[in-house]
Order: sequence, then C-alpha cells, then structure tokens
Amino acid sequence: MKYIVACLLIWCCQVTSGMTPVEDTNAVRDVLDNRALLPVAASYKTYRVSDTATYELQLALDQDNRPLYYCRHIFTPVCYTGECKPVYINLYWDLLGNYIRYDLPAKEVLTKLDHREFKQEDYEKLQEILARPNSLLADLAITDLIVPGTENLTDSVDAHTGATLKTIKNEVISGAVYTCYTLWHMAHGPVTDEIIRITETYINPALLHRFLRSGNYAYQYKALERVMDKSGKITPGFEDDIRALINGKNIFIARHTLQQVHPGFITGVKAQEWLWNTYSRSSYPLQLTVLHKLATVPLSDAMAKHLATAGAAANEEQFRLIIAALQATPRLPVAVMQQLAGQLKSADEGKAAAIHNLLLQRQPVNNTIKTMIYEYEQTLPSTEK
Amino acid sequence: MNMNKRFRQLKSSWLPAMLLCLCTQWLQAQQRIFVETESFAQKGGWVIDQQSFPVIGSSYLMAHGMGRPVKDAVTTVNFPEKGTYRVWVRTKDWAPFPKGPGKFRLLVNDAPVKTVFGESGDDKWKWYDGGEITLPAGPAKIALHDLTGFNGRCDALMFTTGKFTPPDDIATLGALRRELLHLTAAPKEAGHFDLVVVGGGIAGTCAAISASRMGLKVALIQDRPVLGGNNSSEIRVHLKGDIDKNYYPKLGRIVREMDNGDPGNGNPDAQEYGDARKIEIVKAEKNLTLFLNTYVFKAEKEKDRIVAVTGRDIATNQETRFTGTYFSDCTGDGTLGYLAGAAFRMGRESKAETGESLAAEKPDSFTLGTSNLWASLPTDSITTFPATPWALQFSDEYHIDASKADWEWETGFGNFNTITQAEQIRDHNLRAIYGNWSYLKNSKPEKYGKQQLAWVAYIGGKRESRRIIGDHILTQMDIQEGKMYPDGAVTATWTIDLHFPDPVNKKYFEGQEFFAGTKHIRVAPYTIPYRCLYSKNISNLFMAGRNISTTHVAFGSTRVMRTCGMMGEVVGFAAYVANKYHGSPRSVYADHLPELMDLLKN
Repeated sequence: MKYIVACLLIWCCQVTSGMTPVEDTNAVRDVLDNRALLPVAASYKTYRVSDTATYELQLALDQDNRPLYYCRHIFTPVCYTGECKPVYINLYWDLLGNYIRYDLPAKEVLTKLDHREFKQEDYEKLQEILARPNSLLADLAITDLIVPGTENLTDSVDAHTGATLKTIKNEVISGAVYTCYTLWHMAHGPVTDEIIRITETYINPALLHRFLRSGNYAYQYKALERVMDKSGKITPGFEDDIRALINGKNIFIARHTLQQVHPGFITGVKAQEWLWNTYSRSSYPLQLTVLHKLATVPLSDAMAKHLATAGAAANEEQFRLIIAALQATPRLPVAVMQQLAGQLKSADEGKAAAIHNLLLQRQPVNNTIKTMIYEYEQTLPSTEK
Repeated sequence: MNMNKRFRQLKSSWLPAMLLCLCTQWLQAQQRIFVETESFAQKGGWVIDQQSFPVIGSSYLMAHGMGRPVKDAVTTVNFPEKGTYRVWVRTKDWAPFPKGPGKFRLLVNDAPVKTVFGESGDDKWKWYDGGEITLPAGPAKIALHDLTGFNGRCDALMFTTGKFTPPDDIATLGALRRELLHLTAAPKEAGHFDLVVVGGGIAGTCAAISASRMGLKVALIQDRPVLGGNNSSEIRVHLKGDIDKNYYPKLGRIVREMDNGDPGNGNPDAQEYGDARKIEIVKAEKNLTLFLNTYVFKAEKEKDRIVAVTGRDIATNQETRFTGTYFSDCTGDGTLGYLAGAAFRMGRESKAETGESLAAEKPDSFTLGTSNLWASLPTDSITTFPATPWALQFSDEYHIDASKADWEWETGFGNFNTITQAEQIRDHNLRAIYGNWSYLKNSKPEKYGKQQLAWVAYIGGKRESRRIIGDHILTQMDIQEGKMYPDGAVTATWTIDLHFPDPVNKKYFEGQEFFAGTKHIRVAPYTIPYRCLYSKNISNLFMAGRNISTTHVAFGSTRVMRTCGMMGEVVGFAAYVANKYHGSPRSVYADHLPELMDLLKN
C-alpha cells in the first residue's frame, strides 16, 4: 500500500511539474560522460510496457525511421521503514534488450540512505553493477540481501548466494544496496523481453544486414539465427556478410560462424580461394577451425597445393589437421602428391611418417613419386618399412 | 646415434682389440663441457625455475620479463684446450601456436652463435645444434641474451668436440649430467636431525618452528629462496581459514607470527607478503636449520622407515643428504611420500566409494587448478604491449576486463596433471594473462593505456596434487556432521570450496579453461583428527598442508593456509611426543594421545 501511495505521489509530481523529455540532451545529467555510447536519434516512438503502467518505453529512431536503441525514464520509490525516497533515472538498452548505460534527469542526483549524494565513483560503480548481466542480484530476494528497513547486508547473505562477502560487496554500493538491487532488476527485468518483441517487428533484410555489419556481436548472433538455417545454409544475399564475419576481428563469432556454416559454403575453387586467404591472415585458433572445416569438403586442387606447402612449416597440430584434410578429400592431384613426396626427405620423423602413410593410401602410379617413396623407405629401420 | 651407443657397437664387433683401444683413446680426447644455466655466475634478469624438476631432472633459467627483454645471464666457462666446439643448447618453444615468443640468443665472448633459440615450434625439451665456434684455451664469456621478455628458457649448454649428439632421453641425460657435473661423488652430509621437514610453505614452516620450540633438532628444506609457499611474494595468495575459533586456542600462534596482514591475492607490492620476516623468524630458532633452494629428489628407506633424504641446490646443483628420525612431508605435492612409497591418492573419489554427496559420480583425475596471479599498476604516460598471436585470443565478446588477477585465474581442472604438467599449466596461465593483457592494452586504450604489468607470477600457486593416506581419511561427513574424534586437533573453518571452470570461460575456451568458479558450502568449525597427519604405511612420516589424508571433497575445506599452518604446529608437537618415547607417529595416537592433546590444550 505504502509503495502504491509513493508511486502515485511521484506520478502526480511528474504530471504537475511536467517531466523534461530525455531526448533533449540538455535536460539530462550525463553523470558518466558516456552518451557517445548511443547513436544520434531523430525521433522517439513510445510503447507502454506491461510490467507496470507507470512507465513508458521509448524506441529511438534515426531519420529514416530505423530503430536505434530503447530508453526509459524511471521514477521509482525506494522505501525503508517509515520513509520512501524517489529515484529518478533514465536507463538505455540496445535493440536486443542489453543494458547500455544510464543518466539522470537534469538537476537530479542519486543518494544513499543517509541522504548523502553519490560520489563520482559511486555513479561509476553503479554503471558497472548494472552492466553485469550475470550479477548475483539476479537470484536474490531483497530480504536475502539486506536487513529490512536498513541498507545493511544480512548476516546470512553469503549463505544465500554461496559467494563470499567480498564478492557480494563488489556487486552493490554501500549505503545504496536497495537502490542497486531495484535498478538492476529494472535494467534486466521483463522489459528486456518486451524490447526483443518490439525489435522483432522491425526485422527485415535491411536490418539484418545492418546487424551483421554492426560490429556488435549480440546483433550479429541475432542476425545469424535468421540468415543461417539449422544445416548452416545461408539465405541468399547474405553471403558477403557471413564472409565478413569470418574475416572479422571477433575470433569467437568468426569461429562459431565457420563451424556452423554448411560445407557447401566453402566448396568450390572460388570459395576455397577466399578461405585460403582467410587462413593466411587468421589468428592461430581460427586457422585450426579452418583446417577442421576443410576435412568436411572436397579440396580444390589449389587448396590441396596450399595445404601441402603449408604442412612443411606447420606445427604439430596444424600438420595433423592438414594431413586429415588431405586424407579426407576424394582426389589428390599428382602434383600435390609429388610435392608431398618431396618433403619425405626433409620433414622430421613424425611428419615424414604421416606423409608416407598418406601417400601409401593413395597408391600413386607416378614413377617419380614411387621412387621418392622407395628412397624414403630405404632410410627406415627394417621393422618400419 | 649417441657416442655411448656407437661405442657399444664397436665393442660388440669383431674388430681387433688394438683398434678398440685406439678408439677408446680417441673418445677420451673428446671434449664435453656441460653447463647448467641455473649455475650461471650472474643471472641478469633471468630467473631460476625448478618446478619441472620431477619431469626433466633439472632447474632451468627463464627470461620472465613480462614482454620486456631481460638483462643477459652471464657466466665464464673454462675451455681446457683450443679447438672448434659444437654448441648445444637445451631449450624448447614453450608456446608453439604456431611459433612461440621465447626467443633468445647465445653469446660466446659477446658474439652470437648462428641460431636463434626458442622458436622451433616444438614444445619438447631438446638439444638444439647451435653450430660451431672456434675458441682458444682458457676462459670464455658465455651469455644468454633474451630477445622478447616472453619467457624464453634454457636448461643447459654443451660444448663438444668430435661427433657427439647429447641425448634427449631423460634417463640417459640424467646420467650424463651427473657424470659431467661430477655429481657422482657422495653428497654433502647435513647431519642428523630429530625431524626433517621437507617443504617450506606455511605448513612446513609452522611444523619446523613448532618442533624446534619443543626442543627437537629440526631441518627445514625448501626448494625456493623464500618461505611461505603460496603465501610468499612469488605466488601471493593470502592466508585464509580462521584461527580464532579453535577448540584448542594454543594452536595458531605460529601461524599468527607468519601472518603479515592481509594484502589480498596478487597484491602488486611484494613486501606485503613478508618474505624476509618469515625467514628471520625461522632463523631465530636455535634448534632449527634452514636449507633454502634445495629440491628433495631422493629418499632412502630401511624397511618402512625413511632414513635419509637428498636434495639438490636449484642453482649450484650441490647435493646434500639429511638423515633423520622423523620426516614431515609438507611439500604440497606429497613429493617425499611419493619418493618413499607412501600410499597416496590423486583426483576425485566416487560417491559410491566415500558416500559423500559432493563426490563425483565416477572416480577421475580431476584436481583443482593452479593460479599464476598478476597485477598491473598505473603509469604517468601511455605504455605499449605487443600483439601476442601465440597467446590465447580475445575480443570484445569475451575478455577479462580487470587490471589485476584474483583467485579465479586458474588452470588445470583435470585436463592437466598438476605435477607432471606443472610447466604446461603455468605456461597456459601465461598465455591467458599475456593474451588478455595484450587485448586490453591494444583494444581498450582509454582504460588501460596508462596501466602497465607490474608483476606476473612465474611460480604456480598450486591447489591440489597428491593426498597421502593416513590412518584416518577425513570426509565430507566428518566435516558437515562436526564429528569430534578423540584426536580432533586442528580446527578448520573454511567452506568446502571446490573450484570448477567458470561456465562462460568454458564456453569460449573448452578444454583450455583458465578462469574458475566455485560454490562455497558453508561449514561449522570442525576438527581434523591427528590421524590425518601421518602416513599409514611409512612409519616415521608426518604430513601437514594440502597433502594430508582427506578425500578430495574434504580437501576442499582443509586446504587453506592458516589451517595448513596449524596442522604443521600439531606435527611439531606430535614429533616431540614420538621422539620422547622413541615411538612412531602412530604410537603417539595409540599410546600417548592424552599427552599430545594435553600439549595442545596447555
């Protein structure tokens, strides 16, 4: 009841005083000086969110009416025994409901229980707390966290969370535990599902292209779900975006995309020319993914040659995967077999044995290759021939 | 083919005896000069690493410069005669992904030999041919010249004439080392001690002090230049476990002396961990002799008793033998127990075996991991850090956004053996640290531009390895039911704290996890029975520290250092009682328990 009364009071204040719209940047207090995290909006579209009638959710749009981000002007009471205080704050999310940042309406401040204003480090810590989607706060009831009517952590808080007191203290601001708890649950509450639902209504090929090229991995994964089917086949028209993801800076999404993409995507001379270029400029972990993937497709002659050449300087793991890819391909050109046979003399013992084994499986008829195999075998101890 | 093998073949041939004789003389004329790098006169910025001793049989030098090349390590080698020598360098590429960063050169009289070492792409310790050099007879200046500051390493050098390739096989190489370093002579005798404590971590140090204050003549042997183990400035883990809830308040006094305050984990200020103070405390004990830098690699037994151990200096390779009435394994790894044939366990028991609800479904080799903590400090101006393509790779999607480490930086959850793969575990930790730091420095310059690595541990902070089996094996039920056995001695308070790979870290680095999570299972203060502190089958062997007799689950609570220190204190008292009656650790329990408990009470 007390909560409802407080809400009503705050709402009345809002109505009578007229809340300054957040889109007017002069009217917000950018306490963290991080407004640059948001693109410039041309207009806002308002949605009413079902979790409470008090608040509205605004979708920022660019000049072409394309969605940019969401924001919400919060005014919530934080109540202790006998006392409620209003908290005014603006929260911002990306198009998938991931919390981005907060700021305050002009002239507003955040305070602790004893009415002292937040210091700059408290504002920064609040951003860190709100930006943590896997916070301990997620699974806690407020009564698990603090002694009712106070801002003091309960004696049993570590028992409820299984975490140490030090970890818990890191998740809250001393003197403003209730505020942290309330705001975290607003930033990561049902509104996020609502945001996803609204964004879904905007999804079209143009937005998917934008997501894939955004550099924002959350957007990219979301778009991937839409343009790649369960077998890894890509919706026509998105191939360049997929190649860009694999060639991009984010090793994790590059690896994921390459692992999931249909073998057909890397089959054929042209596709494998691109893939070899990718390999050549990739970091080591992605190189291993490329080599794993190559074992699932027929190799072009050029790719087989590239691999045979690369094997000489490869490390143990790369070499093992190169041999596996060469073994898996249905046909090996004579020139490649000859190239491999040429390495029998110079390769170290392990590599030479693997090449020898591969060549024996292929049963080459070319006399030069056969001679090289024979010469290699003469160097082996009698039991290994 | 090595020379010994060649020689054996000659011997077994039908060649005339005279030819054999000539060959032998020719062999004797060959020069084989063996230089252990850890014995270099000046180490420069290189550090001695003994952690792989159980695997490669030696310490080695490492250029641990956190990405900044370290000063040369320099020594003088005396060449007995003028000649052309082939240079051999025993090294490895520690991060062959595909080529590692640990590059260094060997300088002979300030001139580099032709090969750059440490970038072979092969992570096995091997001898590498450094080409030939021609030298006059007499002294020559030999230097290891680091090129990157990224942990290049060198075990030994050889200078040889004639056709000879040094062996890579560890046993053959071990014999060659001994022969050429003249280690075949009898080791130096350190004397006889009532109690020989092997391992100078918190547990071992407390055991040694406790026994010496009871009047026993004690040797404390530690394989590093500092005491304190995980709590030393080399590892920087803070002390945990309470000492103010003890059933026997007398325990914990020595632990308190060791305690240098709580600087947290991985504090960038080495002084906070009080290395010098710990050594001073030990040196002030009149019955206690401290042997630092000594790795115990050999135990001698008579029936079921250990009679002596031998250690090797990690720098000079001087061997020292210690005889004793009682021994205490405080090595953490259970090294002494292992050498002596004590029954031990490593990994997890099954629920069926122990009846513990927290045990694994099936027994396995899973252990808690090893931490290499690190810290950075702010700088006045922007500093750079190189790209690290050989390290783990990160992106904005996943990286650890932190300016220092805490306990979560941990590798080796059963996918590495914490003893035989200690080097790989440390190296994996380094690849995580350097890869993440490179990402932060180069991709988040606004936050990390003016931040510089101040310290990275090169000694691993190991949590778990062998547990030596005693007359009692402490279990989860003992802990949670608070069973008070008649010999309940050390009061423990830490949660059952069994780490596992952090799920998010596992998602991105499956099989290569380096970041841990945990779930603290709270316990009421409980007591660890004395019977967990001695071996069931080596009759004069005590244990204190993480290698006492517990299940894996119970170890999750007993392993913290204040608790381990109190185990050491109890071992000191028990050794006194055993010595008084010329009995065994077991006889203290069987025949003199009231006297031991009285010592703890009063």
